[in-house]
Amino acid sequence: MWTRPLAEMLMDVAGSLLGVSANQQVVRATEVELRLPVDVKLARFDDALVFCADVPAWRWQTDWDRPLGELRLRMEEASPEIGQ
Amino acid sequence: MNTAEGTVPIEDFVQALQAQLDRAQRAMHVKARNLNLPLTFALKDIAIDLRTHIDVVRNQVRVRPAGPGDHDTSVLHLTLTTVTRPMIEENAFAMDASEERIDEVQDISEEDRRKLEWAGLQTVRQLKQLHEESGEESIGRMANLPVDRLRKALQKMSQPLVSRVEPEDSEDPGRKLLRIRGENLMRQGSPKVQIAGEPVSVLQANDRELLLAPMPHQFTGVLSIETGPDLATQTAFDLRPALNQSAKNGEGS
Repeated sequence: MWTRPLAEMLMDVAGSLLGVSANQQVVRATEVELRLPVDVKLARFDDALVFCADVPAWRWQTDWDRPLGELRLRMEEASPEIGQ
Repeated sequence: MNTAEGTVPIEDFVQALQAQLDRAQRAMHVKARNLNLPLTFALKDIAIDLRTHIDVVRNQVRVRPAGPGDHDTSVLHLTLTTVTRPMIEENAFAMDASEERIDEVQDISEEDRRKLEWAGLQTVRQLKQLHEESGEESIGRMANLPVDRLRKALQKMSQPLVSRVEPEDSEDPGRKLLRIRGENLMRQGSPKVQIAGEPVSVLQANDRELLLAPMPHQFTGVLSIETGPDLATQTAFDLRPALNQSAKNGEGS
């Protein structure tokens, strides 16, 4: 099973939330907390160690799947200016 | 993986995780800016529970994520939070912009540089200072670098280097001096300086400049500067044309 670098998975998750703040709303989410099962492995690309973590591809675990970890992330509204 | 057993030092493991979080954070900001959104979502805190095997090999904690069918694994719980620019600025140390950074030194591998930075060493001056205070073995242990590789890196960083040789007037109108500019021109004591194999008096010395009092015939030849064992440089120079021109201009005026 292909496990993507963690950043790619987070970008998918956070990217899907961007639309939430794009539209004018009476009530808007200012903070999002997620708890995800993740399949974790370490890979080497161009001699750099890459932390790969992705949501499981299947609902049921098999004997040849790695045991899942858990990722909890909290995101909050921020300015698009980097580093603020 | 960097070992046959597939384990990695825990600091490399955490760094790899941090690199992914930084990348995700930056990408989310860029995406929001490109979409012209007034607000985005930024990572605030992240916690991860990992099923891993943890080994201690020669005082080093090493980690390997659990594989299929692995039982009796440990759970490694990591919590990370973001730091803002004001927090970074508040905790950053002031660095002289002219200071040579370790990543500017040639022939030091990316991995070794990263290990030194991980140990908080960013400039050549910091590394040399710590070396003088604590010695190679302490730095090697702290940065997880083999002592012979560290010794070679320090040797490269300490090599004297001449960038300019120029004449300078002295208080005695009939006598010229030589100003040498460069890097690592002095260590514990005054360096040994020779021109064309003959010793030259050193009037002033610091890390970046030397002031020499050469004999009249020593304004050409090979300049040798030795600051310590195996720390030497040689530069060929010839200032006679410039001095002759200067003398002619002096006669003309």
